[in-house]
Amino acid sequence: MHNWIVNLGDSILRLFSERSANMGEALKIVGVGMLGIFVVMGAIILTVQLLNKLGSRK
Amino acid sequence: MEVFMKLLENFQYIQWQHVAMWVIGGILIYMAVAKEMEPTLLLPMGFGAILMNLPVAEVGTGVQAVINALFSIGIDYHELFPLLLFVGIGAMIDFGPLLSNPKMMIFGAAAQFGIFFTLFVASIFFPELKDAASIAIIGAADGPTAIYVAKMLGSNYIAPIMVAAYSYMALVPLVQPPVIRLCTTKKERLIKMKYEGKDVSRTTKILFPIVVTMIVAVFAPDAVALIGFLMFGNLLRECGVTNSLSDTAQNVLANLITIFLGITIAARMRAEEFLQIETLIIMGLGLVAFVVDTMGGVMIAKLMNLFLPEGKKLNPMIGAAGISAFPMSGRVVHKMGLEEDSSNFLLMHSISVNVSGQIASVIAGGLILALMGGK
Repeated sequence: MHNWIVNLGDSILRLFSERSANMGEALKIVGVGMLGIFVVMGAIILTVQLLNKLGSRK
Repeated sequence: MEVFMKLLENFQYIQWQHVAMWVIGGILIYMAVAKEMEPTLLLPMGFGAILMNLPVAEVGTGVQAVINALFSIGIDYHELFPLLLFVGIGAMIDFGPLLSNPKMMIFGAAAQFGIFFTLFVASIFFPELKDAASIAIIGAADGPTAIYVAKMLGSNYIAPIMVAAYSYMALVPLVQPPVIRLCTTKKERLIKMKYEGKDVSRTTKILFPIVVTMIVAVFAPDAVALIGFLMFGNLLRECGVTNSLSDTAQNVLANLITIFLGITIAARMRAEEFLQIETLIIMGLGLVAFVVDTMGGVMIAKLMNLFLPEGKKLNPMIGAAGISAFPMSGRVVHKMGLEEDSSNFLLMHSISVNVSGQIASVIAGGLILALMGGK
Protein backbone atom coordinates (compact mmCIF):
# COMPACT_ATOMS: atom_id res chain seq x y z
CA MET A 1 0.00 0.00 0.00
CA HIS A 2 2.82 2.34 0.99
CA ASN A 3 4.71 1.51 -2.22
CA TRP A 4 1.59 2.21 -4.26
CA ILE A 5 1.21 5.66 -2.73
CA VAL A 6 4.90 6.45 -3.22
CA ASN A 7 4.75 5.31 -6.85
CA LEU A 8 1.66 7.42 -7.46
CA GLY A 9 3.32 10.45 -5.94
CA ASP A 10 6.43 9.90 -8.09
CA SER A 11 4.29 9.64 -11.21
CA ILE A 12 2.46 12.86 -10.39
CA LEU A 13 5.70 14.73 -9.71
CA ARG A 14 7.19 13.40 -12.94
CA LEU A 15 4.11 14.47 -14.86
CA PHE A 16 4.30 17.99 -13.41
CA SER A 17 7.98 18.36 -14.19
CA GLU A 18 7.51 17.08 -17.76
CA ARG A 19 4.60 19.43 -18.35
CA SER A 20 6.00 22.48 -16.54
CA ALA A 21 6.84 24.23 -19.82
CA ASN A 22 3.34 23.52 -21.09
CA MET A 23 1.83 24.83 -17.87
CA GLY A 24 3.92 27.99 -18.09
CA GLU A 25 2.72 28.63 -21.63
CA ALA A 26 -0.85 27.92 -20.56
CA LEU A 27 -0.60 30.40 -17.67
CA LYS A 28 0.52 33.12 -20.09
CA ILE A 29 -2.48 32.36 -22.32
CA VAL A 30 -4.78 32.48 -19.27
CA GLY A 31 -3.54 35.91 -18.25
CA VAL A 32 -3.53 37.48 -21.68
CA GLY A 33 -6.77 35.78 -22.69
CA MET A 34 -8.81 37.02 -19.72
CA LEU A 35 -7.39 40.50 -20.08
CA GLY A 36 -8.20 40.39 -23.78
CA ILE A 37 -11.83 39.41 -23.20
CA PHE A 38 -12.38 42.24 -20.76
CA VAL A 39 -10.68 44.73 -23.11
CA VAL A 40 -12.83 43.69 -26.08
CA MET A 41 -16.06 43.56 -24.08
CA GLY A 42 -15.16 46.91 -22.54
CA ALA A 43 -14.77 48.40 -26.00
CA ILE A 44 -18.15 46.96 -27.02
CA ILE A 45 -19.82 48.32 -23.84
CA LEU A 46 -18.49 51.82 -24.50
CA THR A 47 -19.54 51.66 -28.13
CA VAL A 48 -23.06 50.51 -27.26
CA GLN A 49 -23.41 53.30 -24.70
CA LEU A 50 -22.35 55.77 -27.39
CA LEU A 51 -24.83 54.27 -29.86
CA ASN A 52 -27.60 54.51 -27.24
CA LYS A 53 -26.76 58.17 -26.61
CA LEU A 54 -26.78 58.94 -30.34
CA GLY A 55 -30.01 57.00 -30.76
CA SER A 56 -31.77 58.82 -27.92
CA ARG A 57 -30.77 62.28 -29.23
CA LYS A 58 -32.78 61.71 -32.40
CA MET B 1 -25.92 -23.35 -47.19
CA GLU B 2 -23.17 -21.16 -48.64
CA VAL B 3 -25.67 -18.44 -49.42
CA PHE B 4 -26.99 -18.63 -45.86
CA MET B 5 -23.44 -18.32 -44.46
CA LYS B 6 -22.90 -15.29 -46.65
CA LEU B 7 -25.79 -13.57 -44.88
CA LEU B 8 -24.09 -14.11 -41.51
CA GLU B 9 -20.64 -13.06 -42.75
CA ASN B 10 -20.66 -9.68 -41.03
CA PHE B 11 -21.07 -11.18 -37.54
CA GLN B 12 -17.39 -12.13 -37.55
CA TYR B 13 -16.48 -8.45 -37.69
CA ILE B 14 -18.42 -7.42 -34.58
CA GLN B 15 -16.06 -6.51 -31.76
CA TRP B 16 -16.74 -5.39 -28.18
CA GLN B 17 -15.63 -1.89 -29.13
CA HIS B 18 -18.49 -1.70 -31.66
CA VAL B 19 -20.96 -2.80 -29.02
CA ALA B 20 -19.59 -0.19 -26.59
CA MET B 21 -20.17 2.52 -29.17
CA TRP B 22 -23.70 1.25 -29.81
CA VAL B 23 -24.33 1.64 -26.08
CA ILE B 24 -22.89 5.18 -26.12
CA GLY B 25 -25.02 6.03 -29.15
CA GLY B 26 -28.01 4.57 -27.34
CA ILE B 27 -27.32 6.70 -24.28
CA LEU B 28 -27.18 9.85 -26.42
CA ILE B 29 -30.48 8.89 -28.08
CA TYR B 30 -32.02 8.18 -24.67
CA MET B 31 -30.89 11.57 -23.36
CA ALA B 32 -32.41 13.20 -26.44
CA VAL B 33 -35.74 11.35 -26.52
CA ALA B 34 -36.55 10.46 -22.93
CA LYS B 35 -34.95 13.43 -21.21
CA GLU B 36 -35.36 15.92 -24.07
CA MET B 37 -31.80 17.15 -23.63
CA GLU B 38 -30.60 18.98 -26.75
CA PRO B 39 -32.50 16.46 -28.89
CA THR B 40 -31.72 18.21 -32.16
CA LEU B 41 -28.06 17.39 -31.71
CA LEU B 42 -27.79 14.42 -29.41
CA LEU B 43 -30.21 12.34 -31.50
CA PRO B 44 -28.27 12.62 -34.79
CA MET B 45 -24.99 12.20 -32.92
CA GLY B 46 -26.24 9.11 -31.14
CA PHE B 47 -27.58 7.52 -34.30
CA GLY B 48 -24.45 8.53 -36.21
CA ALA B 49 -22.29 6.86 -33.56
CA ILE B 50 -24.19 3.63 -34.15
CA LEU B 51 -23.94 3.97 -37.95
CA MET B 52 -20.19 4.55 -37.86
CA ASN B 53 -19.60 1.46 -35.73
CA LEU B 54 -21.54 -1.10 -37.72
CA PRO B 55 -19.26 -3.85 -39.02
CA VAL B 56 -18.78 -3.69 -42.75
CA ALA B 57 -16.70 -5.89 -44.97
CA GLU B 58 -14.69 -2.94 -46.22
CA VAL B 59 -14.16 0.21 -44.29
CA GLY B 60 -15.01 3.35 -46.18
CA THR B 61 -17.97 2.08 -48.14
CA GLY B 62 -21.63 2.95 -48.02
CA VAL B 63 -22.96 4.98 -45.12
CA GLN B 64 -19.57 5.50 -43.48
CA ALA B 65 -18.17 6.93 -46.69
CA VAL B 66 -21.10 9.34 -46.92
CA ILE B 67 -20.64 10.53 -43.33
CA ASN B 68 -16.92 10.95 -43.93
CA ALA B 69 -17.69 12.96 -47.06
CA LEU B 70 -20.08 15.18 -45.06
CA PHE B 71 -17.34 15.70 -42.49
CA SER B 72 -14.88 16.70 -45.22
CA ILE B 73 -17.26 19.22 -46.71
CA GLY B 74 -18.87 20.57 -43.57
CA ILE B 75 -16.08 20.60 -41.04
CA ASP B 76 -12.74 19.80 -42.62
CA TYR B 77 -13.26 22.27 -45.43
CA HIS B 78 -13.28 25.71 -43.81
CA GLU B 79 -15.56 24.73 -40.91
CA LEU B 80 -18.63 25.41 -43.02
CA PHE B 81 -21.35 23.84 -40.87
CA PRO B 82 -20.62 25.64 -37.57
CA LEU B 83 -20.35 28.98 -39.36
CA LEU B 84 -23.63 28.53 -41.22
CA LEU B 85 -25.31 27.44 -37.98
CA PHE B 86 -24.18 30.68 -36.42
CA VAL B 87 -26.20 32.62 -39.02
CA GLY B 88 -29.29 30.88 -37.70
CA ILE B 89 -28.32 31.44 -34.07
CA GLY B 90 -27.66 35.13 -34.69
CA ALA B 91 -31.10 35.47 -36.27
CA MET B 92 -32.70 33.93 -33.16
CA ILE B 93 -31.09 36.28 -30.64
CA ASP B 94 -32.72 39.50 -29.45
CA PHE B 95 -29.95 41.72 -28.12
CA GLY B 96 -32.49 44.36 -26.99
CA PRO B 97 -32.34 43.67 -23.21
CA LEU B 98 -28.54 43.66 -23.37
CA LEU B 99 -28.38 46.86 -25.39
CA SER B 100 -30.58 48.63 -22.84
CA ASN B 101 -28.07 47.71 -20.11
CA PRO B 102 -24.71 47.00 -21.80
CA LYS B 103 -22.81 46.75 -18.48
CA MET B 104 -24.22 43.22 -18.20
CA MET B 105 -21.55 42.23 -20.73
CA ILE B 106 -19.06 42.20 -17.89
CA PHE B 107 -20.65 38.98 -16.63
CA GLY B 108 -20.38 37.42 -20.06
CA ALA B 109 -16.67 38.19 -20.00
CA ALA B 110 -16.15 36.88 -16.46
CA ALA B 111 -18.01 33.66 -17.18
CA GLN B 112 -15.34 32.68 -19.74
CA PHE B 113 -12.80 32.23 -16.94
CA GLY B 114 -13.62 28.53 -16.86
CA ILE B 115 -12.23 28.15 -20.38
CA PHE B 116 -8.85 29.53 -19.44
CA PHE B 117 -8.70 27.76 -16.09
CA THR B 118 -9.42 24.47 -17.82
CA LEU B 119 -6.76 25.22 -20.43
CA PHE B 120 -4.23 25.40 -17.60
CA VAL B 121 -5.47 22.16 -15.99
CA ALA B 122 -5.65 20.36 -19.35
CA SER B 123 -2.05 21.36 -20.12
CA ILE B 124 -1.03 18.98 -17.31
CA PHE B 125 -2.79 16.00 -18.89
CA PHE B 126 -2.18 16.65 -22.59
CA PRO B 127 1.33 17.16 -23.96
CA GLU B 128 0.09 19.20 -26.94
CA LEU B 129 -1.20 22.61 -25.97
CA LYS B 130 -3.53 22.66 -28.98
CA ASP B 131 -5.43 19.73 -27.46
CA ALA B 132 -5.58 21.45 -24.05
CA ALA B 133 -6.94 24.60 -25.70
CA SER B 134 -9.48 22.67 -27.77
CA ILE B 135 -10.71 20.86 -24.65
CA ALA B 136 -10.89 24.09 -22.68
CA ILE B 137 -13.23 25.62 -25.26
CA ILE B 138 -15.88 23.14 -24.13
CA GLY B 139 -16.39 25.71 -21.40
CA ALA B 140 -17.66 28.12 -24.02
CA ALA B 141 -20.90 26.07 -23.81
CA ASP B 142 -21.19 26.73 -27.51
CA GLY B 143 -21.12 23.85 -29.94
CA PRO B 144 -20.20 25.73 -33.13
CA THR B 145 -17.39 27.62 -31.37
CA ALA B 146 -16.07 24.39 -29.86
CA ILE B 147 -16.05 22.65 -33.27
CA TYR B 148 -14.54 25.67 -35.01
CA VAL B 149 -11.70 26.13 -32.52
CA ALA B 150 -10.95 22.41 -32.20
CA LYS B 151 -10.82 22.06 -35.98
CA MET B 152 -8.71 25.20 -36.52
CA LEU B 153 -6.22 24.01 -33.91
CA GLY B 154 -6.12 20.58 -35.51
CA SER B 155 -7.08 18.83 -32.29
CA ASN B 156 -6.96 15.04 -32.20
CA TYR B 157 -10.03 14.87 -30.01
CA ILE B 158 -12.76 16.63 -31.96
CA ALA B 159 -15.40 13.93 -31.38
CA PRO B 160 -15.17 13.70 -27.58
CA ILE B 161 -14.95 17.49 -27.44
CA MET B 162 -18.19 17.74 -29.44
CA VAL B 163 -19.98 15.12 -27.38
CA ALA B 164 -18.83 16.81 -24.16
CA ALA B 165 -19.79 20.30 -25.35
CA TYR B 166 -23.32 19.35 -26.41
CA SER B 167 -23.92 16.97 -23.52
CA TYR B 168 -22.98 19.55 -20.93
CA MET B 169 -25.04 22.22 -22.72
CA ALA B 170 -27.98 19.87 -22.28
CA LEU B 171 -27.04 19.32 -18.62
CA VAL B 172 -26.97 23.02 -17.71
CA PRO B 173 -30.17 22.71 -15.60
CA LEU B 174 -28.45 19.95 -13.59
CA VAL B 175 -24.90 21.30 -13.41
CA GLN B 176 -25.43 25.00 -12.68
CA PRO B 177 -27.89 25.14 -9.75
CA PRO B 178 -25.73 23.29 -7.19
CA VAL B 179 -22.70 25.37 -8.17
CA ILE B 180 -24.69 28.59 -7.84
CA ARG B 181 -26.00 27.57 -4.42
CA LEU B 182 -22.47 26.70 -3.31
CA CYS B 183 -21.17 30.15 -4.28
CA THR B 184 -24.01 32.27 -2.90
CA THR B 185 -25.80 32.82 0.38
CA LYS B 186 -29.57 32.71 0.81
CA LYS B 187 -29.57 36.46 1.40
CA GLU B 188 -27.72 37.04 -1.89
CA ARG B 189 -30.12 34.82 -3.81
CA LEU B 190 -33.03 36.87 -2.50
CA ILE B 191 -31.70 40.17 -3.86
CA LYS B 192 -34.30 41.74 -6.09
CA MET B 193 -33.24 43.63 -9.17
CA LYS B 194 -35.52 46.14 -10.80
CA TYR B 195 -35.65 45.99 -14.56
CA GLU B 196 -35.65 49.42 -16.15
CA GLY B 197 -36.07 48.46 -19.74
CA LYS B 198 -34.89 51.49 -21.67
CA ASP B 199 -36.01 51.73 -25.24
CA VAL B 200 -33.34 50.85 -27.71
CA SER B 201 -33.62 52.57 -31.07
CA ARG B 202 -33.89 50.58 -34.28
CA THR B 203 -30.73 52.30 -35.51
CA THR B 204 -28.79 51.01 -32.51
CA LYS B 205 -30.08 47.49 -33.08
CA ILE B 206 -29.01 47.66 -36.74
CA LEU B 207 -25.61 49.21 -36.05
CA PHE B 208 -24.80 46.85 -33.16
CA PRO B 209 -23.97 43.73 -35.23
CA ILE B 210 -21.90 45.78 -37.67
CA VAL B 211 -19.97 47.59 -34.96
CA VAL B 212 -19.33 44.46 -32.88
CA THR B 213 -17.93 42.65 -35.93
CA MET B 214 -15.56 45.53 -36.61
CA ILE B 215 -14.41 45.79 -32.98
CA VAL B 216 -13.74 42.05 -32.79
CA ALA B 217 -11.88 42.24 -36.13
CA VAL B 218 -9.50 44.76 -34.60
CA PHE B 219 -8.86 43.01 -31.29
CA ALA B 220 -9.40 39.32 -32.08
CA PRO B 221 -9.24 38.79 -35.85
CA ASP B 222 -9.30 35.01 -35.51
CA ALA B 223 -12.85 35.30 -34.19
CA VAL B 224 -14.11 37.29 -37.19
CA ALA B 225 -15.52 34.28 -39.03
CA LEU B 226 -17.58 33.23 -36.01
CA ILE B 227 -18.69 36.67 -34.88
CA GLY B 228 -19.24 37.80 -38.46
CA PHE B 229 -21.66 35.00 -39.27
CA LEU B 230 -23.39 35.39 -35.87
CA MET B 231 -23.84 39.11 -36.41
CA PHE B 232 -24.89 38.66 -40.04
CA GLY B 233 -27.76 36.50 -38.81
CA ASN B 234 -28.64 39.14 -36.23
CA LEU B 235 -28.57 41.88 -38.86
CA LEU B 236 -31.01 39.89 -41.00
CA ARG B 237 -33.33 39.87 -37.97
CA GLU B 238 -32.98 43.47 -36.90
CA CYS B 239 -32.97 45.32 -40.21
CA GLY B 240 -36.68 44.63 -40.62
CA VAL B 241 -36.55 44.31 -44.41
CA THR B 242 -35.37 40.73 -44.70
CA ASN B 243 -37.95 38.98 -42.55
CA SER B 244 -38.22 36.00 -44.91
CA LEU B 245 -34.43 35.54 -44.81
CA SER B 246 -34.44 35.87 -41.03
CA ASP B 247 -37.21 33.27 -40.73
CA THR B 248 -35.34 30.94 -43.08
CA ALA B 249 -32.11 31.38 -41.12
CA GLN B 250 -33.80 30.74 -37.77
CA ASN B 251 -35.77 27.74 -38.94
CA VAL B 252 -34.87 25.99 -42.18
CA LEU B 253 -31.16 26.82 -42.26
CA ALA B 254 -30.58 26.19 -38.55
CA ASN B 255 -32.47 22.90 -38.62
CA LEU B 256 -30.82 21.70 -41.83
CA ILE B 257 -27.33 22.42 -40.61
CA THR B 258 -28.12 20.93 -37.21
CA ILE B 259 -29.19 17.67 -38.86
CA PHE B 260 -25.99 17.47 -40.89
CA LEU B 261 -23.75 18.64 -38.05
CA GLY B 262 -25.02 16.09 -35.59
CA ILE B 263 -24.61 13.15 -37.89
CA THR B 264 -21.33 14.46 -39.30
CA ILE B 265 -19.63 14.64 -35.91
CA ALA B 266 -20.23 10.92 -35.74
CA ALA B 267 -17.51 10.62 -38.41
CA ARG B 268 -15.05 10.95 -35.55
CA MET B 269 -16.93 8.58 -33.26
CA ARG B 270 -15.41 5.39 -34.57
CA ALA B 271 -14.53 3.11 -31.68
CA GLU B 272 -10.77 3.20 -32.25
CA GLU B 273 -10.78 7.02 -32.02
CA PHE B 274 -13.40 7.47 -29.33
CA LEU B 275 -12.76 4.67 -26.84
CA GLN B 276 -9.63 6.03 -25.26
CA ILE B 277 -8.85 7.04 -21.69
CA GLU B 278 -8.42 10.58 -23.01
CA THR B 279 -12.15 10.68 -23.79
CA LEU B 280 -12.95 10.22 -20.10
CA ILE B 281 -10.42 12.87 -19.12
CA ILE B 282 -11.95 15.25 -21.69
CA MET B 283 -15.45 14.65 -20.30
CA GLY B 284 -14.11 15.40 -16.82
CA LEU B 285 -12.29 18.54 -17.91
CA GLY B 286 -15.39 19.71 -19.79
CA LEU B 287 -17.33 19.52 -16.54
CA VAL B 288 -14.57 21.48 -14.77
CA ALA B 289 -14.82 24.19 -17.45
CA PHE B 290 -18.59 24.49 -17.00
CA VAL B 291 -18.36 24.61 -13.22
CA VAL B 292 -15.60 27.22 -13.15
CA ASP B 293 -17.39 29.30 -15.81
CA THR B 294 -20.46 29.40 -13.55
CA MET B 295 -18.33 30.31 -10.54
CA GLY B 296 -16.53 33.03 -12.51
CA GLY B 297 -19.74 34.79 -13.43
CA VAL B 298 -21.17 34.55 -9.90
CA MET B 299 -17.95 35.73 -8.28
CA ILE B 300 -17.65 38.85 -10.41
CA ALA B 301 -21.18 39.81 -9.38
CA LYS B 302 -20.31 39.30 -5.72
CA LEU B 303 -17.18 41.41 -6.21
CA MET B 304 -19.19 44.20 -7.80
CA ASN B 305 -21.65 44.09 -4.89
CA LEU B 306 -18.84 45.09 -2.53
CA PHE B 307 -18.83 48.48 -4.21
CA LEU B 308 -22.52 48.94 -4.87
CA PRO B 309 -24.88 50.65 -2.40
CA GLU B 310 -27.88 48.90 -0.83
CA GLY B 311 -30.80 49.00 -3.19
CA LYS B 312 -28.51 48.78 -6.22
CA LYS B 313 -26.91 45.45 -5.46
CA LEU B 314 -26.91 42.69 -8.03
CA ASN B 315 -28.30 39.24 -7.52
CA PRO B 316 -25.06 37.26 -8.05
CA MET B 317 -26.97 34.37 -9.63
CA ILE B 318 -27.27 36.36 -12.86
CA GLY B 319 -23.50 36.05 -13.32
CA ALA B 320 -23.95 32.32 -13.85
CA ALA B 321 -25.99 33.06 -16.99
CA GLY B 322 -22.85 34.40 -18.67
CA ILE B 323 -22.15 31.06 -20.27
CA SER B 324 -23.19 30.73 -23.85
CA ALA B 325 -25.90 28.09 -23.35
CA PHE B 326 -28.67 30.36 -24.64
CA PRO B 327 -31.45 30.56 -23.51
CA MET B 328 -31.21 27.65 -21.09
CA SER B 329 -28.81 29.24 -18.65
CA GLY B 330 -30.84 32.46 -18.47
CA ARG B 331 -33.98 30.45 -17.75
CA VAL B 332 -32.24 28.34 -15.09
CA VAL B 333 -31.17 31.46 -13.18
CA HIS B 334 -34.63 33.00 -13.50
CA LYS B 335 -36.21 29.79 -12.19
CA MET B 336 -33.82 29.71 -9.24
CA GLY B 337 -34.75 33.31 -8.44
CA LEU B 338 -38.44 32.40 -8.44
CA GLU B 339 -37.79 29.39 -6.21
CA GLU B 340 -36.17 31.66 -3.63
CA ASP B 341 -38.85 34.35 -3.93
CA SER B 342 -41.82 33.99 -6.22
CA SER B 343 -41.91 37.76 -6.80
CA ASN B 344 -38.30 38.00 -7.94
CA PHE B 345 -38.21 38.17 -11.74
CA LEU B 346 -34.65 37.95 -12.93
CA LEU B 347 -35.43 36.87 -16.50
CA MET B 348 -34.59 40.09 -18.35
CA HIS B 349 -31.31 40.45 -16.44
CA SER B 350 -30.32 36.82 -16.82
CA ILE B 351 -31.17 36.75 -20.54
CA SER B 352 -29.13 39.94 -21.07
CA VAL B 353 -26.17 38.27 -19.43
CA ASN B 354 -26.82 35.06 -21.36
CA VAL B 355 -26.67 36.75 -24.77
CA SER B 356 -23.52 38.60 -23.75
CA GLY B 357 -22.05 35.20 -22.97
CA GLN B 358 -22.68 34.21 -26.59
CA ILE B 359 -20.54 37.13 -27.78
CA ALA B 360 -17.90 36.60 -25.09
CA SER B 361 -17.52 32.90 -25.83
CA VAL B 362 -16.84 33.64 -29.50
CA ILE B 363 -14.28 36.27 -28.53
CA ALA B 364 -12.68 33.79 -26.12
CA GLY B 365 -12.44 31.28 -28.96
CA GLY B 366 -10.83 33.87 -31.22
CA LEU B 367 -8.36 34.92 -28.55
CA ILE B 368 -7.37 31.31 -27.94
CA LEU B 369 -6.76 30.86 -31.67
CA ALA B 370 -4.70 34.04 -31.77
CA LEU B 371 -2.66 33.18 -28.68
CA MET B 372 -2.14 29.60 -29.82
CA GLY B 373 -0.90 30.65 -33.26
CA GLY B 374 1.87 28.24 -34.22
CA LYS B 375 1.89 26.30 -30.92
